Amino acid sequence: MTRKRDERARDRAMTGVFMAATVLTIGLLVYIVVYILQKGLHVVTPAFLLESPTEMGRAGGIYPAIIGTIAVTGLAILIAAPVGVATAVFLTEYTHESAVSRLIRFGTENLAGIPSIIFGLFGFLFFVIYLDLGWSIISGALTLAAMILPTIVRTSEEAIRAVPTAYREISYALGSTRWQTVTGAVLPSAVPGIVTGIILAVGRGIGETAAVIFTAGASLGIPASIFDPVRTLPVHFYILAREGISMENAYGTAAVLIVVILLINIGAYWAMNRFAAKSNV
Amino acid sequence: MQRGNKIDIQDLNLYYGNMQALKGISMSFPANAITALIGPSGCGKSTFLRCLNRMNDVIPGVRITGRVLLDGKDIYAPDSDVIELRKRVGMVFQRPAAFPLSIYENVACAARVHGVRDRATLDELVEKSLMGVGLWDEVRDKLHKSALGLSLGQQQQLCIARVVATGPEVILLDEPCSALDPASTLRIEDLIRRLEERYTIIIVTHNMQQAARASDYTAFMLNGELIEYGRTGDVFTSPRDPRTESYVTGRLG
Repeated sequence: MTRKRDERARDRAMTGVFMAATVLTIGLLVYIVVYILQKGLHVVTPAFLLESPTEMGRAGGIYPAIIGTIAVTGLAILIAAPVGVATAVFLTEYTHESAVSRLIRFGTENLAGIPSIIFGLFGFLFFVIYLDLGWSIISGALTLAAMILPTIVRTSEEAIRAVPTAYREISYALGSTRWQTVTGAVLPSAVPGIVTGIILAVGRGIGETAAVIFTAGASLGIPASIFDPVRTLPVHFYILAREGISMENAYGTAAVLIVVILLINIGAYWAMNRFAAKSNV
Repeated sequence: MQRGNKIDIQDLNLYYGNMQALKGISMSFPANAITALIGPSGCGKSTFLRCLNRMNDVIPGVRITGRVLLDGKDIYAPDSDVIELRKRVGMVFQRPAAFPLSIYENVACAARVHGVRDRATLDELVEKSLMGVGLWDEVRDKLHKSALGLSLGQQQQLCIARVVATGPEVILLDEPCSALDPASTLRIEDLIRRLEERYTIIIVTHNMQQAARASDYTAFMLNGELIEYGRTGDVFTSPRDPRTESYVTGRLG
């Protein structure tokens, strides 16, 4: 009797603990987003988005930083997505599980754990100095690509492994080549997972500061080519806040960054649902 | 009716690493007949079936010796084209695995693999294949709906239609009814009977009633060896080997 009551009390208490943990997690997220938006949203006007900054960013807008972010992240994804997906396809469909493939996987996982400032340093020494690409969109994009590559490989590999073996067997038994099997039977089922991984990578890339500040530079000009330096939104935010130029505009920049990331995630869900609906007519 | 042999097997051995899974199998499959492979689980009947369209090639550590002649040509010869082989020797698997595509696409994808692109040709081929497996009337109004909405029995018919669409000469069926209910099983057996006219059919089954009902010839395998092979009626009513007798009467396996 008493034991039973104890157990029930414990059950209720633990339900409370788990709920509290969840509320804490969600609450923290909501608090950060609301705080930033509250502090920054009032600065965000069409002019703030479409004008160049003046007085180092104390006045004016953030237009060049928006362009810089899109250019660096976009180019990084264009480089990393094909390479990452191809690596995942090779590891899953072209090799059998072996010491070598385990070593490659171990390597990519470790790559994912390297702090981004190390990537920044590597990018600076290799792309900026050694390859003489200078502070530029291309240096930043290559560095960022190296940084997000493991995420893309990992998520794509998981998505591809989740495709039932039966699909591969059927495809081969119908007389498909390996390429036909990969493109016809494996990748279509894996696309939602792969796309999710790429979106995650975009999110990580957009918010990245340390890796790009050393490689893409901090220029406030509008780039004319991928060999020009740019300043991305997080770098702009960092400089505004770090050097005490304008906390107001720093929060404005942060608000834009948060809204953009939210929009990307919503877009990703929309695209994924559309894809899922299409394949299940 | 005079029947030639479609496939001749000469001293076929298969090893998984050091383990020998098939031991010196020699036999012939007659054309346009249904041959059943029976035997207890793990006797190597599925492994043997997969040798006939080289599906074991992709498994690491598998080594095969001996010859498998399709119309007199060794499919394991160095100049043999495995893509062409699998087009000629189709395979239906145990679990009806329709692709998560429309009914139409499930059949059309098989033809596309072999380079059919023209829409009208594809339409015709899909209709013909679905008719061939007796599924057309049930699905004609929902060709572009997901194949996953079909019953398991219908999905298995669809899988057979997919194989038929590649224009095979031989159809291998690996326990095609083991995931199906009795009514669907009978449907598939009827279908296999009808396909016999056009194709050479080899079916692996652990269901002896099915072998007795639905085949012309039966081969009994045990521990990787071919124990007995003959007309289905003879194997079931007057087996020559005592082990066959134990198995078909239900005392073994």
